Amino acid sequence: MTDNDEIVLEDAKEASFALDKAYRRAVLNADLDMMMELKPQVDRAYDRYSQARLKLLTEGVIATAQDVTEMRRIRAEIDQAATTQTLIEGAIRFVAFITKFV
Amino acid sequence: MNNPLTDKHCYVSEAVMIPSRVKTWHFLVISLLLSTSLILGACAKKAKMIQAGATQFEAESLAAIERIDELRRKEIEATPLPPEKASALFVQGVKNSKQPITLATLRVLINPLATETPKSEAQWQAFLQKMRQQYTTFAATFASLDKGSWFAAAEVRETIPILDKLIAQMAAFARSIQEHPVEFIRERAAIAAEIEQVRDTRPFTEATDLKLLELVRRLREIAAAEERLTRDTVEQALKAATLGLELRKLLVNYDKLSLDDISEGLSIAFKLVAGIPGLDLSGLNAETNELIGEIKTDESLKGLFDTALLQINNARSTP
Repeated sequence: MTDNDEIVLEDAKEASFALDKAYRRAVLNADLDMMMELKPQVDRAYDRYSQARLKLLTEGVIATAQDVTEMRRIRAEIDQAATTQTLIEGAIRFVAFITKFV
Repeated sequence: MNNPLTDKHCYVSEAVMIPSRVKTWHFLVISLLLSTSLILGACAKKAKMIQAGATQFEAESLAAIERIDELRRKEIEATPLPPEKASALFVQGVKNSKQPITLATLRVLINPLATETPKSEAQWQAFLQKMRQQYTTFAATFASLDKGSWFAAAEVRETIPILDKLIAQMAAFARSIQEHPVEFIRERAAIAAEIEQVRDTRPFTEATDLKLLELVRRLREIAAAEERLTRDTVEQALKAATLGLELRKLLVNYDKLSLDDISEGLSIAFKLVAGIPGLDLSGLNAETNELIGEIKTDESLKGLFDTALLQINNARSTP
């Protein structure tokens, strides 16, 4: 995590908290006009905070869409191996059946 | 000239030899079929164990992703006002207001404590979906391994570099949450507003003390809930990473290990994961460090450290 990300997260948290506290005081005082003034700012601040939290987590994400495609390719190959093995098992069962009569 | 004795002997001999050859051939075929069936059966059982390990890794990882989702929502969610308080706010708020009542005003009056975060919400949904898909796709890779266990050893090994990334991601999530424990910001803001209001109301009376004591009790409850959620989230990510690591050891040696080896390895993995719950945050921190330490020092896990973990560290140090 870079220092900058740390600062962004902490700033966004402080800003959200300060604005929300003011909003909550407006709620306690039933000050609807103040609530309406603050509400969009509170929402924006939380939006920024949540984005900052997400950014920190996504720094740990290194698997990509290519990896998902690769997993699907490997699965297709394992599925193919299963089909081949099923055929061989069938052949073995057939031979085993035939040997009963020899 | 035919010698009846010899002919008879030959005849008798052939009569004896043919069934004997048939019996030998029959025996060999049956032995071959039996051993092939046994090998196939053992391979299928080994494969089923790998499938069980991969499915459990998926389940633990998905549970960790759900915890992360809960954590991020709780940070910016507020407990709705009780209906009587919401009604009182509506009545008094409207009486106090001087501005026009708009659609936005009505939305706020209906649910004054809703949090509208459309940009981050869309990004979070995309992130969570991507994570779920990665871990689900990984487990699904092995869906028919038991049926193709004879020919799929190479494919099993090919999954390791991807598993490395998935393990490293879970370890990174655990570390990120440890470094930035959850705070229910909206709940804390509500308490701070009430504290300020009590403090600003003079004169101080016995009721002031009672109100402040009630607020500190609520604050402690919130702090305890935050710690629980932080611990649960770190714990779950750590469980997933630990299980992934043990699964990796089995995949690396898939074609060399016996059925018993894999069974024992899986049993150790499940025991390790079962041992994680109950640790406090510092215990979990130590577990995470131990896990990352093991990845760094274990020669067989060197690939995981060199690629996946280093990639995360590089991403973190690049602005």
